[in-house]
Amino acid sequence: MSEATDGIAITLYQNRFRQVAEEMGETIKRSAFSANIKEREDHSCALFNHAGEMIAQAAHIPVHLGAMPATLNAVRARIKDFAPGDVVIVNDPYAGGTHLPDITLVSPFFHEKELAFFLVSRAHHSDVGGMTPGSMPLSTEVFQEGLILPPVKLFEEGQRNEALFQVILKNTRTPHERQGDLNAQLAAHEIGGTRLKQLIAADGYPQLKRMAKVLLDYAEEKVGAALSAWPKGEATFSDNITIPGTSKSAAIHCHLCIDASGIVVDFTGTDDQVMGPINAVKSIVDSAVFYVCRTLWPASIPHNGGAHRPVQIKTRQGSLLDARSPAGVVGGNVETSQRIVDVLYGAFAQLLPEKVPAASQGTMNNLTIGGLDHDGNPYTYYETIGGGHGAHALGEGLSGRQSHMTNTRNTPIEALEQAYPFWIETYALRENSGGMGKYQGGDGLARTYVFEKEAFVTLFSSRRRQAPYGLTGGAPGQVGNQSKVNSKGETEPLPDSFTLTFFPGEKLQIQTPGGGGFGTEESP
Amino acid sequence: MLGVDTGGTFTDFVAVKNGAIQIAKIPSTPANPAEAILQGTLLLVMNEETQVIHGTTVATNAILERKGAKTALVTNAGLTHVLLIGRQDRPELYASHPKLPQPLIPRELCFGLRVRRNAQGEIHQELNEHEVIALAKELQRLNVEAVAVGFLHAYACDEDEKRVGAILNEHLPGVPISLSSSVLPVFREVERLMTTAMNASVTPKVSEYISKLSDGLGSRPLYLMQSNGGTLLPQQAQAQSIRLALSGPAGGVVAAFHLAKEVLNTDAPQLLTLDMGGTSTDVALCPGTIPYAQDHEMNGMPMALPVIDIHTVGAGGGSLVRLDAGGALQVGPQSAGAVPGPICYGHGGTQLTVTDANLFLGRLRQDWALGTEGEIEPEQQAVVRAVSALADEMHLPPEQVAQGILDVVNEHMVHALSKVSVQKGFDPRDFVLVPFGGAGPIHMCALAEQLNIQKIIIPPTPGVFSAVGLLLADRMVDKIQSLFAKGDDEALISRLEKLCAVSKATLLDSFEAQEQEQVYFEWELSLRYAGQSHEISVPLQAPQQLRGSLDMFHQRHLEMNGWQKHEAPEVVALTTRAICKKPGVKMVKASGATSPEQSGRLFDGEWQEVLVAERSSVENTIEGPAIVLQEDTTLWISEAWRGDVHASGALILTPKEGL
Repeated sequence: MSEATDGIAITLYQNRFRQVAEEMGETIKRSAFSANIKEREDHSCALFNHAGEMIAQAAHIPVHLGAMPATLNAVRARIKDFAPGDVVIVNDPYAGGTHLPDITLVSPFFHEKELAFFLVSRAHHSDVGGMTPGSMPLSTEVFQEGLILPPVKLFEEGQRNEALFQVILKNTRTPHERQGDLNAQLAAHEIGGTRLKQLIAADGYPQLKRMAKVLLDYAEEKVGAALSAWPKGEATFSDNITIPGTSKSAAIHCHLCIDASGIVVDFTGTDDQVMGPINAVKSIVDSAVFYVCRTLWPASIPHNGGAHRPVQIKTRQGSLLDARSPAGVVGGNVETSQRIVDVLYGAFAQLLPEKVPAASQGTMNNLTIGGLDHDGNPYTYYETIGGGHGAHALGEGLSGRQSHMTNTRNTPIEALEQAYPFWIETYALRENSGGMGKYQGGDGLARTYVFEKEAFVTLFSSRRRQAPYGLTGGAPGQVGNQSKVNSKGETEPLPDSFTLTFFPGEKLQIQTPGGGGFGTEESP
Repeated sequence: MLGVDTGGTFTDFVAVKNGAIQIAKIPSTPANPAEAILQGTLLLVMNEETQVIHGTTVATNAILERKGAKTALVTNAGLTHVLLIGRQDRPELYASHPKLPQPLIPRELCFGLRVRRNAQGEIHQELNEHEVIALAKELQRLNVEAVAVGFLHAYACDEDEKRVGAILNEHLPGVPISLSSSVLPVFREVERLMTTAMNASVTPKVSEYISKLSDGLGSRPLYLMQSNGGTLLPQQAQAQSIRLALSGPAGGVVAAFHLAKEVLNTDAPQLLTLDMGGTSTDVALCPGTIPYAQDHEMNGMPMALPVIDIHTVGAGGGSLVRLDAGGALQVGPQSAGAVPGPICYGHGGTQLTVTDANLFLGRLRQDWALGTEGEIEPEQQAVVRAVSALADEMHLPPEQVAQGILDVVNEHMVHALSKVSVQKGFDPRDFVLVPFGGAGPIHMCALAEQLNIQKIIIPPTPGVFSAVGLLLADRMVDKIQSLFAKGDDEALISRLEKLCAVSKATLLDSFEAQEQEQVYFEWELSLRYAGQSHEISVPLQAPQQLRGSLDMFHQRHLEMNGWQKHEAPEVVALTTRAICKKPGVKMVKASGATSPEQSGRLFDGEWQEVLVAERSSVENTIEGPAIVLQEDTTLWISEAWRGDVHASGALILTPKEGL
């Protein structure tokens, strides 16, 4: 290494670039409007070089982890004439997006006349139109899921495209909130640009550009070093995911190969795309794969485009994991991504049995509630519910927590009951729902909602039929379930995904899955 | 007056007698912290009336080490696991083997009562006293030592908690009961109940400790430092012990604020504090006032009482240096601690630390290194060997490696200082830097240069500055009340007037009779736009001046977030602080014997000869580059800076030519 690219500079610049992304993320969190972003931190920011390689990312939610490079590729493929002050907006899953609620902004950063970097922010917007409030419907095609924005300029040389902006606001149930959240994203780009200018002023653009490249190579080298310690070999694993509204399920199949040159993850054996919302675009697969890798390789490896180089991901067009338009994809992010993790971990477990945990709850239990509040104003509320984590070689799984591709916090019950016409009767650990074993899987959660006013409810979940698997002799966790308690106190079971109107006095009970156990239970 | 600050390794004492400061350090006695205190008190104390102001870590350690009392939680049926579930997130995003800290209260000690109120405080399900009595008997059978009681929406109506508290008191004599509505009556159940549970769990230990200490001090009045930078009477600290839990770093900020007021001759100084110790560094930004926050965590658990808003990073003098698998130089967060400590301490440390790098470059001249031209101590040789070995591995000159270690640790601290300033919309150029702690004054110039800071105020005794803060802290009690109202609600002003009057009356009771006349009040409103879930706090001069607070909120929101809305914000909480100002403590510059100036070799881009002076012999000004030695720390003034001695004894650095 030359004098200026030594181990000291690597640490300094790794921190500096990461801080640009982190500060953008903090800005969004601080200034956004919706609870979805502020409390649940369903947003991410990243810095890319001019060639579309990711230099640094602040991912608060793993499902955004690998998906941003695809966005940059799609944006760069469609838009050639970038100018200072431009901001591109996109949510089209078939052109760089993942599912419609995730709206991404991309802005070029110029140093003098040179296109030097791209700043990217992505946030889950709590309503982008579509069939149901909250835009998380049990759809069969993408057109039912909301407003589709292919990569287009929302700002041209600093001027907002008012026509486009009005169309966006007109296509959401909560325009006021959309405006606030988009403003928060724009503020993040502003801050990101300011920080880059400061870095350039301090060290000069050539040094910054060079260090960005050095960091990519450095991450690649570190991944190579980590992989060299892993056993070489091949493994295959598959698991199913239920198709909402049907009694059928689709199989996700993975062939994993670790050799001297890197990792190949091949999902081409997965079933065809389905009529339903659980299809995924390839960038979801990328996110899930990089999430799993990141939990398995050393934490000190910077997360940038260089770390992705030794990992090859194969999918088949027209399959569940590489869907063609107009397949419905809203659940690819939330449900299918969790199952991809389960399948890939299942394959890794055969090669790295001490490193891999048993299956966690494998769902996000997406619940959307809409209606009129006590003052007669329309509201939309979205939440995901934690569950059991898989046990692992070092101990029990966590109970009642978010797992894998999400880590959003809950909304305080006291905040909920202030704002909405329903209350929470039960929110507790579901005792003994984790799979038994030498180490027990974590417990799922039990949550009961009591409706005071008529409410339109959508649940989108999985792991109600196929239990989260145990490993090395551990038992599977219990599947989840849900039911309605009517005003007479009678309980009726409900399917794993449904849209239903609840009337005053009725209750919804949800029990989330437990995690799989690890190791054979020792007999006393 | 005597300030006593208990730390992990040493207990620091600062006494003021006729304006002159006396310092002492005594090894701490963790098994019984009072022992070291009583020793030190005998050493320094002048008479039987001397006030003793104490910063203790008894509450902190009980929480961090889970050595508090056997505590039960009593909450609503259906929600008994509220603290185990927490906010439902996991602490680390990318862990294949995730772990949670041990719960403060285990699952089997969490109980639910069938009682419920709605958000307005109205009854959903009425309390059944027989159920409470049965529970009391169960708690007695389990030999529970403390109980935390917290029901949903108790901030809106505290009747159920009070009734349960009274019944438990009756059936569990001697067992302290903490009610969430008295510890922290604000909404967000996890944060409120966790704070209440922590309070219950530390109360028996803290109470016993304070009783013993009071007995030992005899007639000398005792005050305890709290996390908000004010002091409490012993009986208050025994009732709300959790208020002591984050008092450790508070003293330094209080002292820095007082010093900056005096030096800058203003009541509203703008300063950044930098308290760099062995394992961590605490930074705070004071924008004309001491800042408070209510979102602190202790070991993964929210502690939502207002505390001085301090940001901590795991980087300090003892931070360990290593090369990672990719050949990048990493510093911290692991630390050499007090044992074995840095290599240069000679206590068996073999891994390089920041302190060793400072020593290698000549920045840290310990007394044994002075005047030993030509012959160096074995510890110094060990440092030279370690730096050279690392330099060989990195194929770089040793000086560059040592400088690189400092660059990396400085980067961590610049990040911390940016987090509290630029990331909140403040420009560090408008602030003065106040460095203290054992290592702060060695790194100050590099940090100020990176952040474009134009003035540094170095306290007279940077090494024991937290203990100095104890002497300066005011008597203070605070109270928060939840209220949900729109800022333009016409009834709001009269509602605020009533709330302010009530909190005035309750808080006055916490002061001694002779103090009550001097007590004054400060109010703060927590505001947000409708739909937001984070609040911004702004001062409220008086209920009639609500308009001013709302304007200030819009302005702060714009500064912090880049936008504002033209609608009235929501008012979420009112904080009242009752303060009894401490009479000014005059501390005069200690005039030590002047010693002859010397010179030493130091690396700053190149090896050079620099001035080495004793702090006490710096009369008026000193020009960088210079090393200044003093009993409790070492200062490194780099070439760009000049220092002027202020009447307070502080040394004020400004750039020789604007930076």
